[in-house]
Amino acid sequence: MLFNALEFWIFLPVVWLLYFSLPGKIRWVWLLCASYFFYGFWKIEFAGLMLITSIMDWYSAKRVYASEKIIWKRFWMWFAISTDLFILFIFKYFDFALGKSDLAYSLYHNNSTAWIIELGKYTIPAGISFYTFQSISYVVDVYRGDEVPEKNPIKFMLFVSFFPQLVAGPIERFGRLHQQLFQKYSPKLEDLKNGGRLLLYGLFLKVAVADNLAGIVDTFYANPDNYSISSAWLATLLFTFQVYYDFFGYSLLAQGAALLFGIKLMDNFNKPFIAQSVPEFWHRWHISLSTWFRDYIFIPVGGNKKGTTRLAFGVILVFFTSGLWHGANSTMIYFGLSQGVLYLFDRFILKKTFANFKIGIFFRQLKTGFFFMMTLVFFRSQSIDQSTGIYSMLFDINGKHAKTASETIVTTYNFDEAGKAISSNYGPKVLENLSAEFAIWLFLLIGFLLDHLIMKSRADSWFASLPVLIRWVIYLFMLVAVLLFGGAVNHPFVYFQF
Amino acid sequence: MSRNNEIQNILKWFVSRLIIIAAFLFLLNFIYSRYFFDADIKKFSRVKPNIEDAFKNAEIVYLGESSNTSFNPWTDTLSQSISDFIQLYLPDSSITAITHEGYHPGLFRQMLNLIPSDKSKRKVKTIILGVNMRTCGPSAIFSGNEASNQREALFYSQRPPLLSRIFMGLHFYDSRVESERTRMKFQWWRTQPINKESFSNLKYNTAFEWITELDKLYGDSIPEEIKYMASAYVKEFAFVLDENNQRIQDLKSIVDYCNQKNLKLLFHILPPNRFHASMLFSYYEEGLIKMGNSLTQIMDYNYQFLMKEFTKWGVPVIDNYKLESASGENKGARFTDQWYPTEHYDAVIRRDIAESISAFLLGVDKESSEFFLKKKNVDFKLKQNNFPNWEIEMPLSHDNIYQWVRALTN
Repeated sequence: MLFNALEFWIFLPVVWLLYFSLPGKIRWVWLLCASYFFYGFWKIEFAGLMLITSIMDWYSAKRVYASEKIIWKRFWMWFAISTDLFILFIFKYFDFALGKSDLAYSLYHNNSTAWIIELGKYTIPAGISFYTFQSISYVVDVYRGDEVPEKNPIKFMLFVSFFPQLVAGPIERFGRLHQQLFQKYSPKLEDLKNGGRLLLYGLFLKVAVADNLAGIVDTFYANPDNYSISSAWLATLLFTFQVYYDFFGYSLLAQGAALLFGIKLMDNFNKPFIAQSVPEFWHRWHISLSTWFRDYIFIPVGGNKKGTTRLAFGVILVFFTSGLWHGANSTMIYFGLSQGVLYLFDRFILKKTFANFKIGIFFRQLKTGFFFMMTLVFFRSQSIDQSTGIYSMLFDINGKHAKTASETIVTTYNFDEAGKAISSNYGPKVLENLSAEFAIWLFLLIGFLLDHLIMKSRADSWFASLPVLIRWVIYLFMLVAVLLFGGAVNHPFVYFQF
Repeated sequence: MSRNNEIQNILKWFVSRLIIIAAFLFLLNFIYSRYFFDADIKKFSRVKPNIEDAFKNAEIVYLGESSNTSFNPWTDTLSQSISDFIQLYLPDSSITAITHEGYHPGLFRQMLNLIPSDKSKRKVKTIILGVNMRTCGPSAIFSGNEASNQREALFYSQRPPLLSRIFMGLHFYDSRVESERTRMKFQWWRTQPINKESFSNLKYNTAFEWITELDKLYGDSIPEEIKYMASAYVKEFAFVLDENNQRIQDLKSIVDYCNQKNLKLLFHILPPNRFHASMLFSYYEEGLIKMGNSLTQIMDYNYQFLMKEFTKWGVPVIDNYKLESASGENKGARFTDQWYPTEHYDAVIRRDIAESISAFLLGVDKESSEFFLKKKNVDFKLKQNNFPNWEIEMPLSHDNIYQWVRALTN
């Protein structure tokens, strides 16, 4: 079930009402059932997979804790990590790793294994990377002595499966989330109000902003050769906003839904486009994943306390893993590695070279945003060939697009033609009248203003501080944007596939 | 503050907001219907006005997919669609077609929701529906266009317009992404049994087994086009129909709806390219090509199943499954697409189909003298503006297939 599907908006109030109608002691059982229903709604097999991961990690952590000798502690920790990664590998990377080998052929032509190949190729279990990482962090925390293991496996299952953050994070730590799941809590009006605001704001960013942008970006990427250089730049820029508002919107929805149950999830974004350097950017973008990599990979391999070479190694390792985590595709590995290289470049070269120059904050922000935008070409492309094609187009490397660049600045006409040319699967028919789609640009502008120019707090807190009339005008505006102008094509959350 | 007080506060807050939002939605529906709905129809459901118009103003509505208008640019000297030809035979009736590539009974059923309930506001009395066997198979059911089709169909409804818009924005329709549909299609080919005890010579249990075997069988000596063609025929036709098939349920639902609305419903079964299907799986013996039946027996089984169901439902059927002009010896050449199975016909077949439907509607025998006069009249009309040549055929695939069969069996 997706947060931007109508089913979820029926599911959520029903779960909430029943949750608070039940005696406090068994509420968590209801939440667990609801979470498994939420996940199994796609495919019941996926819920089974999550169950296996949960039970394995619960048992391993128990053995880690009970073992007296360090060697056994290590054994059980690595046992849990390797089984988790094995499952992840089979369902997410197997098809990619096998490619078109003979083994792939024979596995696909064997009925008992063909379904795995099919799933890996076409439908990766939703959010498998998120809950796997969350579950791994628990075992490692127990190993490090930071956490005491949960005695009840069923309760641990809820930690892994809690539906608001199950399919796209934030990747929570056991110490933060587990306690909240079982705390004594009575519904509070304030939480309900704040949760409602987050849900509306998140839905606005996803449905009215990101989904509408997705239509334009998809149209370009379906056939990039048809477009001018300026269109390529526009599509690249819009994809940056699409992926941000898509994921930020999802994170807000997750936080809002959790808050209705009195659970505060961590912030996953903190105005990333005001970051002045690549390292700062990654402190503001997908924070739960960045901190996960910091705590479980970067610091264990040396962090920044063992010299520059070790630090550089750690950074590249983290970004390589991050790229791989994002998807079973070489484009994602390039995305991760390019981020790693830019991270080091910004930290060691740009920072030192321009140490004595006074460059305005705005230009530093612009540079950081530009770096990120450029690497997203890998993120969005279907193949390395497509990425290189788009880079050569953006910088007009082979001169092929020079003519069209002078002829066509970014006009909606280009997209209009594409809308007619490609299958309606790729882009909403709204493209055919993009010039009239003033609303898309308005929503993007409002989304950006709300998010990045109201600096002191997040927009939903700012709404709360406004006079009631203005507040309601904003709410109703967002509601109209979602209900009347929501993107027509179903674009699952970008991070949902990871 | 006590827990009960807090709950009371929540209830008050919740109910007051619910009332405000409900009132707002009511107002929004009015605004949307008046100022935005038509524009959305133009963007997302362009065919809707034509459908409404057809039900209001035409006595006979022809529902079909691309077969209706499948003009063959290589051979056709006439561009009339099947429904155009019917109109020529029935000049006193008004006929409108709602046809488009990829349309299927599930969509037609939703289109019927647009028939006005008030009989005085509609002229339609008869619905003709072309039944394409392939539409019941996995390729069509899990087509990548389906999400887009279903999105269009959201607006084929009498519900408040705002609700349709909300359903679209929040994807309350079958909006599964293309990759998931592709997976389901492969799963079907891999798992759905295609063998029946009554079938002879069929060695394979699933379409997937068959396709895999074809790969091995063909080796490198067979032209790529033929390999692709044979594989496509298996993928498109190697499935066994039953009552649980989604399209069968849709057809049944159409029958029920038309009965309920007192509309005359007529099914006509479209002829598949049976000749090519048998040629592709035939063998060569003592200088003769023996026609194969490994695929056609599945097609025939499905045809018989359709006929049995339609008879059970009491719906009149025009049976063109083995229409001579489309299924006889070498008649595969009359199909527009030579290398892929489609029901795209040249004007000869289109006219032949139209004749069988027209004769049925007129209540006369197609071979009767009465109908012969009609034919003459239509011939005269066609010659007024055109110089029809009914003899041109597609020359493409025959020779290749013959060569292939020889190569395979030698």
